[in-house]
Amino acid sequence: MAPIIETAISLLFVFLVFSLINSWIVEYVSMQLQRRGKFLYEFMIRYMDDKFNKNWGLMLYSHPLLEVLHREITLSNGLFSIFRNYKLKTKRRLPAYVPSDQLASAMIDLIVKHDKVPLFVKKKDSEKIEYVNPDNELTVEEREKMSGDRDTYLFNEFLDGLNRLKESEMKTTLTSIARKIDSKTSDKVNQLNTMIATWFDSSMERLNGWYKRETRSWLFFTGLIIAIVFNVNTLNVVQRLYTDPQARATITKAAEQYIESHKEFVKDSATDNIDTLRIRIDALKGQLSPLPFGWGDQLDKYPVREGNIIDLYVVRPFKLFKDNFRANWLGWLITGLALSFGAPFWFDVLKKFINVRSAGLIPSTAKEDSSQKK
Amino acid sequence: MPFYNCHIHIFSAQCAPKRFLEVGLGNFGFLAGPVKSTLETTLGRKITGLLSRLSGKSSSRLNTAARYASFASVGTMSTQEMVFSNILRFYPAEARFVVLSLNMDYMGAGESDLTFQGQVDQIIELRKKYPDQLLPFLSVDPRMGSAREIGMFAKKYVGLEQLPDGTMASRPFVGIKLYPALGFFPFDGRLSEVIQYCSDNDLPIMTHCTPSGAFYVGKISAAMGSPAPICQPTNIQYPHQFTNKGNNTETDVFLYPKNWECLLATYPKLKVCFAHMGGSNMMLQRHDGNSWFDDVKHLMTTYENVYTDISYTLSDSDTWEMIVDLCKTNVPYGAGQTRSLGDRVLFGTDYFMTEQEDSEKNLAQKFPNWLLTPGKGMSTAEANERREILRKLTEENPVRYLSSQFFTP
Repeated sequence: MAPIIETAISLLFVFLVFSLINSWIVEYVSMQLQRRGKFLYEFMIRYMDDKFNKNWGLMLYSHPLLEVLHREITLSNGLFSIFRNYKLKTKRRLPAYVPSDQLASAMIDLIVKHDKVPLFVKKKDSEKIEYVNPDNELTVEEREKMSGDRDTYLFNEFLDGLNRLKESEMKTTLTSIARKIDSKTSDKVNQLNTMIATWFDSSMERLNGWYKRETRSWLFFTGLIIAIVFNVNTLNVVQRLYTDPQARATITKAAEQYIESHKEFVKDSATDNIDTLRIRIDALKGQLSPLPFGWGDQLDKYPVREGNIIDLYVVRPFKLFKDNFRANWLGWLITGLALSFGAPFWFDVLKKFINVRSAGLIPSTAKEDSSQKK
Repeated sequence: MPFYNCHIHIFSAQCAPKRFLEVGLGNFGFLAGPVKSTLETTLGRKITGLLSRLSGKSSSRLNTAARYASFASVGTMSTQEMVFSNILRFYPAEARFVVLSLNMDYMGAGESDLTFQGQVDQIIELRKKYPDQLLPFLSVDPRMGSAREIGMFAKKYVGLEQLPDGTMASRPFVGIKLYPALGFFPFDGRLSEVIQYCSDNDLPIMTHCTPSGAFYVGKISAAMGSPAPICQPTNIQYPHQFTNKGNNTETDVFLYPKNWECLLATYPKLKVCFAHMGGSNMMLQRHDGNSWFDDVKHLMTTYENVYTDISYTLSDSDTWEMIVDLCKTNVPYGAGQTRSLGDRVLFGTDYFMTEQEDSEKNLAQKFPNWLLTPGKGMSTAEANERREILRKLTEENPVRYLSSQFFTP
């Protein structure tokens, strides 16, 4: 029983290590491609597309409250930055996350302004055309109303805006939210903001579900590439672990140490630089060294014409892949599938196995195993 | 007096129908998807810019592709504000721009993400930021509703209102934009209230007038050729029968400058600008006196409020002398008097459509600089006359054109 459990623990640790690398790659690529931001943007413009009025998603994205989230201020780097007298640069990026209360405030503002046509005057002194701010042009009656109960005034502005909307799903949703607000309270606008934010949050949960499903297919494909590039054949790994007690013991120990030092799963951040990642991978690779990964000296079987880059980077890897495909495809596929579950999943499963082992089973040593074999 | 560019577009990819780029790319339409995706990335834009610069003036295929890509790279900017901010770089700080909105919901190229109402709202928000520089025209299409509904729509955005202190303030849009190539006649009865409103209040209308450009790409039906008209056109047989020659050619019938003759006869004070002078191809290749350019000139001669602009046409330097000639033309008026057509020619570039021909930076400078630079052997009087033409095109004439009961530039 113990060899099986240890083999399982070792295999789970292998999956965890490669899943960490896989997750980092996917997250890094996603960050560079603004995948999360684009996903959120696409979701918003489809989810909030109100054909009878306007596309609220697009209007929200161009609202000043959210527009500011597009600006990413970064430290200027690169060769030519030394010639510049400033160090910061602004990039336009789609935000990966939009705070729901900010989104709710922008939505309320859009509804209040809906179908209100602004006015412009030519100033006599400067001859310039200026926008007439409606707050500065209120009648005495309106001013009195506003100073008496600003909350009610602003809430009524929202209701007026809502009334100006053509009948649509969005109007129905916002009307039903507004109806839930107690008209006697003096905190109506805040309540409205909170309720719209809650509504957005529930939509965002669905978005997160879709994003995770989408990410899983990315994890599978990159996992498959990792399996091929590093030659991680699950079937070979299992065979080696089961038949090599020394390797099994070393990796089980490494897994236990890892779980001991990581009480909770902490993923490597995509913002970690590549050098940090390389150091971590090297450390983990050292622990997995008894296993049959990589291509080793097999590459040497394929001659390369001197100085021929095509031979080196295209022909040789392709021939290697072709010759090894039949023997390894199933093992690579299993690895790819396993890596698609993501590092947090394998961390949890590994932790459970180690707990079971330390609670109920006596760990076998490499020595005992070898004597059993004899 | 500020410098005026009387003809620019700032609609972004969000405002355009899904198949707009496909139409814009013509024979390369099948590349619309990849082109859009590429141009939405910073790297894609940078490569496009580099391509445009490298291709220079060559007439190679690379140059054609780069020009299309350059046009699309502006058109695929994500917001109208980005497109507008881009043009500001090439003009003096005080310059003013007539921004032409465009309702593309009925051109048969699918729906836009933003909807036309969204486009209008974004322009309004932008005008709040640039109240003195951005002078928008409201796009109107007869298929938007009944004559009354369209009239109400126009009055909502173009008009006057009294502030509590008694000051009269104007609504955000200062004129009306018509783009008949998208599938309608300018004398369509559903435009009657708008035309009447414009005529009563000296409101400027800008109408597209060149055979090239965007056009209706949906299925042409017989009904499109026979809506109840405001007046009976004399230049074409009406109701019009389409002949199945393809949309590119068929839609030209909507654009004939002479379609306006019956309208102008009904509303002689109507202020209309025929954009692009009928098109540079018409100006340079047709010399039988029946080109669209000749028709525009005829309408300018007959009606005192008919204008034209040099947008897009100015990208072809072969037309420059013809522009000057038009500006120097005096036509008889009343008893023994004359009036100059040069008082009704406007400067415009047609940004960002012209990115296909030349950069906005060049367009903003080349023609004005040409007018300001005396040619070999040119007399001082002539040099001064050219200087005066430029001043009229960019300063004086736009003010006259834009002035209405609702707006004083």
